[in-house]
Formats: sequence, C-alpha cells, structure tokens
Amino acid sequence: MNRYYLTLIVYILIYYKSVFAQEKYEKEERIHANSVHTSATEFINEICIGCKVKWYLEEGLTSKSIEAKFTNDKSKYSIEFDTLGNIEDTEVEISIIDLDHPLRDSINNYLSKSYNKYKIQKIQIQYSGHISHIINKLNNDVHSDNLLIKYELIVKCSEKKEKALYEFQFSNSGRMESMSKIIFKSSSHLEY
Amino acid sequence: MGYLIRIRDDGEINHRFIQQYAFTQKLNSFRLAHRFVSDQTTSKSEPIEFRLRYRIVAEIPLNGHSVDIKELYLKLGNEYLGSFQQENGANLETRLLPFLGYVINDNHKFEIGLDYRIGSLLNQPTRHSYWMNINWFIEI
Repeated sequence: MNRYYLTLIVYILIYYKSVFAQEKYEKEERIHANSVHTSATEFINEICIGCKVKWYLEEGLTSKSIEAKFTNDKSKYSIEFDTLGNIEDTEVEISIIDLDHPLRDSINNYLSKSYNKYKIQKIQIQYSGHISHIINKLNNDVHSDNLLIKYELIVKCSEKKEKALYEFQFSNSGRMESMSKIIFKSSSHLEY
Repeated sequence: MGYLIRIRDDGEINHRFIQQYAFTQKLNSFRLAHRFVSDQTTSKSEPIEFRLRYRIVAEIPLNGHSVDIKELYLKLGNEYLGSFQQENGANLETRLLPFLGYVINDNHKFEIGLDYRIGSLLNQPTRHSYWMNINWFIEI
C-alpha cells in the first residue's frame, strides 16, 4: 500500500561571512548572436568558421562588454568586445608546458618567493592590439611586434594556513603586473 | 559539527550528532559540491545508529556561465547513505535530488524540488519515498 506523507520542514541556517571583502559587481547573461554587433561576429568568422560560439553580455557597475566563448582545434577561446563590436582582447587557454622556459621560470620564481605553496589552475595567453595582427597570429601564427601579449593565471596559493585563489597578470617577459583575489560566490546552498 | 534533536509522534526523543566536511569546485560553466557526513543517532528505545553519507551536487546556471542575482539555476544531487545499527545490521540508501533555484539577492535564495529516496538497498524489499522540499537560504 502506498503511503503519502506531507511534511513541512523549515531549516533556518545562519551563515556568517568570515571574510570581509568588497565584491566586484559583475553580472553576465547569455545572449543570442543576433543581438551582437556584426563587427564582432565577422571577427569570429575570420578565425573560426562553423565554430559553436556562445555569446555573453557582461555588465559591471560602469561598463558593458560582449564575450564570445568557443573551442577551436581543442583550444578554448574567450574573446571580449565592447558593445560596438570593437575587439578588446583575445584569450586562449594554454598549458604551462606551452610557455618558454625563461618565462615559465620567471613565473614560478615569483610564485615560489611569494607563497609557501601554489598550484597553477589555469593559464590564458592574452593578445591585444590591431585586429589584423590578432587575426594573423591566431590563423597563421605570424607574430607582429605591435601585438601585445600577456598571460593571465588562476593560481591557488597557500600562506600561513590560509588558502586563496588569485588571478595574476604577467607580462611577456614574466614580470608580475597585477593580481586580485578571487571572491567566491556563496556555496552554503550546495554544502548544507 | 552539528546537533539535531527530533521529537517523534510517540514522544520519544532522538539525538543526532553530526560531523561534516564539504568543499565546492568551480568548473568552467557549473559548480560541483562534495559533502561527507558522519552522524550518530541515539534514543532510549533503540541502539545507536551510525551513518556515513556522501553527496555530490551540481549547480547549473540557466543563464550564462555563472549564477547571478535574479537568475534561475538547476541543482542536481545524488547522495549515498550507509547505516549500521546493532539490531538491524548494515543498510544502504541512495537519494536523487533535483531542484530548481532562484537567487533573489546576495543574501536570499529560494529552491523547490524533489528528494527521491530509495532505501533498504541491502535488505529487500527496497523502500521508495518522495519528499517535496522547499528551501529558503538566508545569509546574514
């Protein structure tokens, strides 16, 4: 015999945020390719014909940008445009072994001096500059001196029992240019 | 660490002591949370029951690649729950947890979904039970 129960359980979970940090306001939403400026879609068609592209609108407090994400030849691309379709930068996910030895050593030296332990979780090579130089680099691997190259790393760092995830930006010569702590969104609804 | 007290229909009181470890992984377009729990339940009429639980939950955004304010998300979970009690021996239960959630603001989330439990997997016949859950998470 089937028995049916109707029970109402009310949990009141009091969760205290122990880290006081100013969170950056950023909201992103999926958008359709039709609502993207044609300059942006034309750029994507130049570097990847027939790729399945996901488009996102990213909104900060004072700025808006459009981001295209796709995979081409097993590499993950993330390309950012302003709302008028002008390219801001192009990021391609790479592995640590893709970095030249001197650059890899500079990055590892900086991280090992700054933290007790660290683990690089993600590396993206970032190209910015004139659109034709970016296309030439991505399609033909032809490097122009006018193309600005930087590296964006997501690194898990441990120091004095405290672990945190950081985003670093390194120059092409391995100089650390900027870093920011990644603030996680609350996960209490997933962990309780 | 946690403690739960349950007063049953017949007036008997259960005490449960809970130890929990949980962590969340951020993947490219969704988050995965792993929860490990052990608990011990005692009451006057029954021997102590020991349970070990593991739950995996995926939070999948329905708009974009992360869940933002005023957006919906799917929360899909699967839990395995092993128990041991002196009189009843060992038993195993699994739970399937599909939820639909909405982020009202930074401090409030609302979820509605099912908790489908398949119990007595080791001691047949298996028991099937369905719970409808409504969760409201408040962070202060």
